[in-house]
Amino acid sequence: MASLPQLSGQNVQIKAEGMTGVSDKQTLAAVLQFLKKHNLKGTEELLKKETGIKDTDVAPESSAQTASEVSHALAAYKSDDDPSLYDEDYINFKSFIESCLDVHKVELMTILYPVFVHMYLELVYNGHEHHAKKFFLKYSLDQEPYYAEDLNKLSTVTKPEHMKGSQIMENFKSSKFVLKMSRDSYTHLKRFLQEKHMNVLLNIIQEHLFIDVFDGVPRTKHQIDMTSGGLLGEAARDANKTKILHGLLKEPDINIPVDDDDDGGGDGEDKPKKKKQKKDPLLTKKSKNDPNAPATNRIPMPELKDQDKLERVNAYREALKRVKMGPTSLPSICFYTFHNAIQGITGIDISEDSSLMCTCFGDSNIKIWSLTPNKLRVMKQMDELELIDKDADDVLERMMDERTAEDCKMLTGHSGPVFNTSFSPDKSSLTSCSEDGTVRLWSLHTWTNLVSYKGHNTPVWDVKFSPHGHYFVSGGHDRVARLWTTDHYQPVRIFAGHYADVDCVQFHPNGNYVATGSSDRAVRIFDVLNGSCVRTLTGHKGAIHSLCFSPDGKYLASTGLDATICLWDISNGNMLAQMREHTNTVYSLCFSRCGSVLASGGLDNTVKLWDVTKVIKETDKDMDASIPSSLSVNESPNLLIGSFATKATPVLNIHFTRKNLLLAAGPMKVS
Amino acid sequence: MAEEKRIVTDERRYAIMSRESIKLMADAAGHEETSDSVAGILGEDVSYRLREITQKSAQFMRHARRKRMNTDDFNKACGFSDIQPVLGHGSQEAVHSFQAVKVEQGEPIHFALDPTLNLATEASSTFIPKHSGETTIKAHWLVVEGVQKSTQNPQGTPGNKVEPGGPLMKYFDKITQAVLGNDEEMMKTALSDLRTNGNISPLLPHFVSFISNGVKTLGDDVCKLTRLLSMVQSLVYNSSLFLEAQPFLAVMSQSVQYCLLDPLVSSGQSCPTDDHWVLRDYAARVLAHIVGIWGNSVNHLERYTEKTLREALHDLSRPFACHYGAVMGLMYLGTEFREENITDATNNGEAKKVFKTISDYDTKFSKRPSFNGFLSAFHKSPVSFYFEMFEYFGDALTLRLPEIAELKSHVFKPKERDLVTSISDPTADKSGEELLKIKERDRNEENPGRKRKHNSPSPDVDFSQFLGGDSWTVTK
Repeated sequence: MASLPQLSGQNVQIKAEGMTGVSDKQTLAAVLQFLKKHNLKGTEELLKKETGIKDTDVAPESSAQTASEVSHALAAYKSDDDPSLYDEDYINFKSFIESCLDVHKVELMTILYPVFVHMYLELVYNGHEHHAKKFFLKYSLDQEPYYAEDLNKLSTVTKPEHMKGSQIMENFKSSKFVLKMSRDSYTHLKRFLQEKHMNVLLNIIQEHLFIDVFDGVPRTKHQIDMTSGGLLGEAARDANKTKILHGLLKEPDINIPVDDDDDGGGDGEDKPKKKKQKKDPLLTKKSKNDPNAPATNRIPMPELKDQDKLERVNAYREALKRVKMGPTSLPSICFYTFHNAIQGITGIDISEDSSLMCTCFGDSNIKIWSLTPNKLRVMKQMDELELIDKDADDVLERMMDERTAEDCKMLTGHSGPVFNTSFSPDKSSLTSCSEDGTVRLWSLHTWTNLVSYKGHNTPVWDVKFSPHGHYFVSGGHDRVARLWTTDHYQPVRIFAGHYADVDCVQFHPNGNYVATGSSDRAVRIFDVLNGSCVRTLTGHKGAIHSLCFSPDGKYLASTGLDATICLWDISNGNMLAQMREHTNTVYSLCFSRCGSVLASGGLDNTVKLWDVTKVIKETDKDMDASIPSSLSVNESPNLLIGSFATKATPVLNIHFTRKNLLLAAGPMKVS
Repeated sequence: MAEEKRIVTDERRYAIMSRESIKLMADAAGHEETSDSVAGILGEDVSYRLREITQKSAQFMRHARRKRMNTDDFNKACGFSDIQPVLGHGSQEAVHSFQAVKVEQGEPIHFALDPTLNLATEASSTFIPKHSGETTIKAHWLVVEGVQKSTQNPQGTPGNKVEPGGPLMKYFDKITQAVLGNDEEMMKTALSDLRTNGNISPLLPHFVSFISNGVKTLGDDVCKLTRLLSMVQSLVYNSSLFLEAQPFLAVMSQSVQYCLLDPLVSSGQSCPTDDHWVLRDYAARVLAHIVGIWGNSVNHLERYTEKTLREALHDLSRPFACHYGAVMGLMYLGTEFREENITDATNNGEAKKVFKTISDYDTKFSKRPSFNGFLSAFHKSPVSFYFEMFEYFGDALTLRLPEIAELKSHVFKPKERDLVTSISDPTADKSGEELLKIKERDRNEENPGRKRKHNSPSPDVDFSQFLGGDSWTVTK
């Protein structure tokens, strides 16, 4: 297959890696400095002579490096103002906002938080610890409760030394806080700032805020609250303008045999006449040319092997037996409870065809379980393999060593808790990610580790295989998601843009996009083709721990620490619904195979089912997506169509089988 | 206001290192003189670092999909901040190794207990840590077509099935054997285990049927009935059992009511320490417990129990003992029942008499007007004294016997029970169910002659002299 095109450096924003582009000369200068520092004169002289670098070349470099990194980066905060000015300005500004009409008041109120944060940071930076503390205590109660987490972190920073290395601090200083505001409110603000010459305030608004002005009526408090909550405010409207090709890929032509015969569907070549008799509704719909579908070769996909074709035939057959889902016909739920998991289960994954389950443990091990009567077997040794007749129909069966059949196999290799795993669609391999900073690829034929992908070097929180295989994406503590392939040991794309850890990743069903959820409380969608961020979705009030695309690729559901599930329309990035019934972190989401029901499960020991059809039916199709104040979010409590409690088992994974049976899994809590 | 409070409490939630702590630590590390300013600055910085690490550890906790942070999370966060992990606190039961010492001024000092272990004794100790077992997976239906079958007990632990010869059945045999057996210590252990064991819910039906069979079979052995009642009480107290599922609750309260009201029980004065009045008192208490804990507006347990007791009280054909039980039961259920029923029962001569007897008796003996007279009468002839008293008070007399401290020493001297070792005891290897069977067989055989055999060596006081003509013998 063709490989993914290489990108030029400027397209991929690499924030985490500061070391790129260091010239040879600089390296040499650094070495010389090191030698000097450690008083290794002989070597230093020798190196100088060989490279021809003079003392003068080294000197300016060293003086630049001695300048404190913090003071340089945070210089924007440097100010000689009287600390009491901040207090005055804040009060004046607040009283101005309160004097405005209610319609504008709610919009202008949103500026208070970033202004507060930056004023506080300036006070801290300039060493006014006492003033800063007083300022914080006095005005932190004005702020929205959903900023509590960040305020908490801020409150611990009281000294300029603490600002160095603090993640939240770096975000505030290096990026602008984004606000959306109607033109009327903005005019009010502008007039106020022009009349009163408050330098401190003006400076902060100019330097650290980005106000996205829209034409239309101002938003209500409720509308603002729906989409705010991100670490650095909302998404600017321009961020979600790019068109997303959310249609599904054209299905490859596979002759689907008629499904009267019960056998596994070994013969792919069936009579065409029979095929016509039973034209299936699922495939015909997909094979129509969808204007939103990306070209099949937009992202190079691996060619289908015979085995994959067989698997598709199976999938199609099972789909025919699918149960219709809806508020009146709820699924059956089969629950897999883990007992004696004292080492701590950190993640559970179920393969697409629901035949294998994988659990990762806090003690660095991975266990694979067979959920069907088929046992897990190891491939035969080389010399035995040679004896097999390669043209035999059951050659894949013969390759396996029957003596090694087991219900459960363990994979050992990581050196820290394994946080998640993902099966490849053909179930021949598995990827896992761990606290040790590596992503590993395992073979499920030999049950051994094939590759250890090193790149994140900090804990990797999530990993997902592409629905078409070959690619997989991982996200970690280094705030980026990386796209890997099974045949390269280096990432082929780096998706950067999040301001905090990437907590979860998910592939779009057409394999062209990757969604990421982060601790900065935003969801982003990246284009695999060029690595650019095409959607930024804000509105969550806590870190995001689970993402799921609808089977038709049009919608995205996200959830996490705030126990709220948000449903997004990918085509315009609008929030369609918020579902709030869970009482604790939600760790798993899954759409039914028909897309009409969404299932969720989490730490509150319940499985909940939501009516997606209702959301889509009630969505106003005619509204203008470019005006934020025209948006309405469905929050009806009637969206919840089922809630089922386990006895004491948190629900860590939830999965619809091809026939729409719901599988859920979790470890029994021992109290 | 609420938010202000929030921030204040947040401040308190984090550790703050005081100058004194820093100085102490510096001292322990060998730096004797630490100036106040240095300690202050260090303290503030350490407090900040602690908060920072704690915030970072939360991320590790969340990704381990847990609600509670543990020391591993903290150490992982330390690792990524280039700080040495704090080793030695990984145990899951580290909590109680913390101790607090009160100092003269200020807050008590908390420290982790770090005793020196003697490796030799550790090595030779017989304590072997329990293997927690392999991680296993169990599938069950949580919901079938949108309908959840039962929220109460959707899953059991593996090995939970009650199979003959299985671990749970062995446990059941051991417990029932201990409860009905002769080893006092064993019985206590068994009862306390029944009270606390969280894994016996599958055995509940077995225990309930054992008790209900037991009270009927042991109908006249007060001593063993008391033990069965203790068993009921233990089960009632066990917080992991859900008794409300029918028919457990009904069967269990019926068994207790049987002990409370059944006339059969009254016949035995075989064993003076276990007289049936005490048993009835105990049964009344247990019944009140059951009603108090499990009675609610849905199962109407309270109403039904009250109804049964009233019926017993109003039924004139029943003997004293039964009326006594009914009165006691109502008394323990609550005063309002007592008042109401007793006033109802004033027309009922006998019941009134029972209640009067009890209250009169109390006043009489608390005042003790002619106690010396009693004593001298007793000294003259214990037997005739007993009969005389029996004329007055009937069976209620027995209840008061232990209270007459002075008389007690003259009336009966229970022989010290021999501690029976289980090796020589023929019943030792029999399960409770088997014991019940033997008992039943014995009863059937000997009922015509009213001759009873005890499997247990009850204190063999020959009480027959007090009972006069009756041909009862107590044999071992």
